Formats: sequence, structure tokens, C-alpha cells
Amino acid sequence: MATEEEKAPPSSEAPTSAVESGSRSGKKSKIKLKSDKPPAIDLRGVFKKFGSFTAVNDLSFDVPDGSVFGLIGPNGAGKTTTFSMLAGYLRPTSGDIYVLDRSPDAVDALKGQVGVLPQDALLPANEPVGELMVYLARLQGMTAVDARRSAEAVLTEVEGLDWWKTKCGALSHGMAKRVGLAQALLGNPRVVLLDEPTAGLDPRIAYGVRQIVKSRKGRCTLVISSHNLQELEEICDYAAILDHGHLVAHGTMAELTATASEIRIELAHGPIPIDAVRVVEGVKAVSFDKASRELAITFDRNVADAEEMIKRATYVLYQGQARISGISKGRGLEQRVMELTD
Amino acid sequence: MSPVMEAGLTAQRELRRNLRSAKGIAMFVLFFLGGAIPSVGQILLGQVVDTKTMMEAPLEIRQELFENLLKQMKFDEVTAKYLSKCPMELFVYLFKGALFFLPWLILLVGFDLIAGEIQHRSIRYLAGRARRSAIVAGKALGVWGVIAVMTLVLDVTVCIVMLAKGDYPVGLVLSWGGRIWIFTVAAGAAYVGLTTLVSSFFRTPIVALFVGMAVMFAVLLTGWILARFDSTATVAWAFPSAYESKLLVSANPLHVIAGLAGLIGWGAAMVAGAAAIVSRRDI
Repeated sequence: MATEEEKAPPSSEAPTSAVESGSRSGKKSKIKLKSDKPPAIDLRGVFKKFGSFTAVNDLSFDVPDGSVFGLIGPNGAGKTTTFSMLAGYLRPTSGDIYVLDRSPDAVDALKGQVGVLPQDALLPANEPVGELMVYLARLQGMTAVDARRSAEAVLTEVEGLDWWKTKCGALSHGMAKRVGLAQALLGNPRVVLLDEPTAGLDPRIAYGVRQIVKSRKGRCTLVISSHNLQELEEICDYAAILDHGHLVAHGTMAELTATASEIRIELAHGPIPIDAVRVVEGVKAVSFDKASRELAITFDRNVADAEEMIKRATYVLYQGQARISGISKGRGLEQRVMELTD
Repeated sequence: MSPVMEAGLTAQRELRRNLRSAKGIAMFVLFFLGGAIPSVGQILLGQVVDTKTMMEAPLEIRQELFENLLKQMKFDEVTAKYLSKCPMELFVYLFKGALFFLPWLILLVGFDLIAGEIQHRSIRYLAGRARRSAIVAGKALGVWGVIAVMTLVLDVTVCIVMLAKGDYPVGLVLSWGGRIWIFTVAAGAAYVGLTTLVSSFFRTPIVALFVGMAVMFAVLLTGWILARFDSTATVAWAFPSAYESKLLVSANPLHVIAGLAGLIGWGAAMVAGAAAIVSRRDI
């Protein structure tokens, strides 16, 4: 599990309390996360229809500048459609999208400032990796010398410099994915959009990709669309949860997983002093799941933070002869997503 | 970065890719054979027909014979006289022959120009970095460049054979060989434009190929039919064949320039249409 430090938003601002969006129930609300800086990405009432099918339905949220932002949801939730609109591949049927205060299709204004790893775009099979990277870098406006230097740097970052002369068609899936990631990082863009960056990768390479993404934290705004919730929970500061094209929740990862207002304590067989826990100062609700033997404690974060509540609760539990076998903060992103999506 | 730079970089890349790909090499061989086959045919013809005696006739007599032949082909007197200066083999094999096959070869080279990129979504790697219109223009320019190189190979092959045979003065062969290459390249612009436009409508290359064949056939046939009749001659200017058959062969240099400009303009208009489509569509 990620530490609190890893999950903390880059801004020192207190997180907002509004998390779940009312848009699915028809009560449209634009959730704006607190930040000093203008958001890197801003969506306002975005719809995308394919014929009669509405893939994205009234989406409004923003992505704080400098954050790592996760787009979460089950298959068909509208993640890739949303991602494609952010990248300028698809046009919204209605609504507005701003990336760095520009429309995503303002190519000239955004040149070199937005890097994208599309999920299912094939690299040109007959082109050597190095040549492709230099061409892409030059399209971003770099000189031939800078383009080569930048291409070498990003390929080194993904441990792919050896593939310089290898044709893209000869790359394995993992290698191609890393080349795709490298091209998204060309020229140190201010916004990097990554669609399923670790999908289909073996654990070792996926770990490497995560390390690359983590190393970019704070240097740019990262938007990651993924099914891998553990990965997103580990990497992201903020997230939006989509379901059937609707925004169902949006906020800091700590809010979404309730790490600041809930703790879970796993108990081994033995006494379960629930009533003693209920009277601990700051505790709002306590529940015990017999199947998992998990005690869920919801507390007022204005009275105590998670660490303080763990101290208080465990003290009471030990006093009551309970046998603690595990402690965690929040519900975990996976559980949260399960609760919010069909 | 200006759109011209973006298109230029894309054109260079397209040239490199095409001349290196299996398809590009196959087309290159095809064009080379296109030059070699008529040349070999010429030699074989010499064994059947007594062309040696014919070629021993003075150049002026041969040109007069060719002029009469051109008049029978419905060329007016001034044009026939002007074209009779062109070595007959160059006119038949390179000008008429190449122009007949050129649209189809261009379609084979470029049918997947846009459709292929959209099908595999490779265009997504470019779309955030360059204007879509510049990508389309660059790709079309690249294919046009490939066609220019390929037709040059064909022209050079035929000219070398002709020079080796020594039937015509070197200056005449090079002068007409160069002119015909320029005409072919200009005509190529029109068909590259049409191929690009068709390709931009589809995301499945094979569909673009078959629809392209139908469209190409319709354009060539319609242009040819319209040019046959005085009443429809004006409408025929909407088709590239009119520029090829009426202006490029003219003795008047201004007409030739107008023909070249007309063909390139026609191609540019098609590419502009393709650029407009790709700029508006979801990729």
C-alpha cells in the first residue's frame, strides 16, 4: 500500500470535501479542486455521442496543474473516449475542453507542451525507432541536433536506446509500449496523457514504467487512464471515476479512498470490543464485517487524523483483549470503485 | 513551426519510408520494368520489322512520317509538327504509355496513405505535433516525390537505351526525355491528389483501394468522353485528362505552363479537400 506521503496532493491546500458528483443523477455540478494555479486541464459539460450512443455524458472536472491524475472506470465507462478528447483525437459533441487554457486541437499553441501515449495506436512498422523519434521531436519544433538529443534521452529513460536502429515492427509489445511512452515524454511536455501505460506488460516492465511515471511527478501534469487500480492508487494524487459515461466521483486520492476519514482494522479470532471503540472521541461510525473480520471505523478528520485515530482505536482494542492482525487507512481504491460503479 | 515546415518534414519522412518499404521497392521494380519492357520490346521489334532500314532514313524523313501519323491521331497541324520532333519511342512509351498506367500505379502506391494511418491510429502520434492539414499535405507531397523518382527511373532507362541505339541525336533525346518527365510528374500531382482524397474518406485501406479504382476509372473515362465532344469541351477542363491531351502537347509554351499549373492545381485542390476531411474527422 502506498504511504500517505506518496498519496498526498502536491499542493499543500486542504483537500475539498466534495467528491461524489451529482451529474449521474441529473444534478449537474462542476467540481473544482482547490489550487493556486489554474488547472492544467478543464472539462465543462462535455458530451460525446457516436450515433445514438452517448459515450461521455455531461463530464465536468478539472485536473490540477502539476498533479498525477487517474481516469478510472470499468470497460465502457468512457475513459478512452475522454482521453481521446483530451488528446484532440476526438471532438466533443458538445461542451468545452481546455488543455493549458487552449482547445486540444490548437496544435500550434500546444506544440511540444502535451505528450500523449495512445492506447492502441501502432508504431509505423517499417520505421527505425530512432528515426521515428527524431521525426516526432522535429515536428514538435526542435532542431535536428536537439531532436536527436531529446530522442536519445527519452529512449535512455525507458531503457530503449539499444533499439535506435530497430524497426518498430520488430519490437515486442513491451518494447513498443516503452517506445510509445518515450515519444510521449519527448521535449519534457507540461502535460502528459498516458492511456493504459502498463496494459499487457509483464510485472517487471510494468514496474519500470511506473517508476518512470513516478520520476516525472512534480515535473509535469500526468493524466493516466487505467484499469489497474492498485497502480493508480500508488501513483495518482487525484482521480476521476467514470461509469457509463458519467462522472461518479472526483477528488484527491485520499478523499476517494477515504484515507483521511476511515481506518480498517483486521481482527484475528477473539474478543471484538466494538462498543468500546464507538465511544472513542472523534469516531462517527463503527461496523464489523464478520466474513473478513474487518472493523471499519469512520471518524471526524477535524478531531483526529488517521494516525491519531489508529493510536486511539488500537489502544481501546488492546484494552479489550482484541487481537489485531492488520491495519489500513481508507477503503482502497478498488473497493471504492466497486461501490461507485455498476 | 509553420505548416510548410511540418509538411516538409512529413514529406521527407514519407519519401524515406516509401523508398525503403517492401511496397515501395516493389513499385520501384515495377517502374524500372516499365522502362525496360518497352526498351526490350523495341529491340525485339527490330528483329521482326526492318526497323534498321527505317532508322537509317534521315531524321527529317522519319519526323515527317511521325507528323503524318500524329495528324491521323487528330492532332492539329501545328501540334503535330511540334510533336513530330519528339522521338517517336519517347512519345509512345513514355508520354502516352506512362500517362495511361500512371493513375493506377499512383493508386497502388498511395491508397493507404491516410486510410492506413487512421486504421492503425498511427496518425495519433502525429496529430498532437502537427496540423492535420500539414500532415495530409506532407504525405501527399511525399508520395508525389516517390512518383517523381520512379518516373525518373523509367525515363532514364528508356533514354539510355535510345542513346545506346544511337537512332536520335543526344540533345533531342535528353530534351524530350526531360520534358516528358516533367509532364508525367505534373500529371502525377493530379492523381496523387485524387488518391489522397479517396484515402482520407476511409479507415480501411482495402476499401480505399477499391473505391479509388472505381473513382479513378470514372474520372479518366468521364474526362476522355467529355473531351471528345465540342459541346462538353468546357466541362472537360474539370478533369485532368484535358490538361494532358490539350495543353501539355501544345507547341505554345504558355499553354504548356498552363497545363502544368492546371494539373498541379487540380491535385492541390484534391489534397486540400483531403486535408479538410482529415481535419474535421475523429481519428
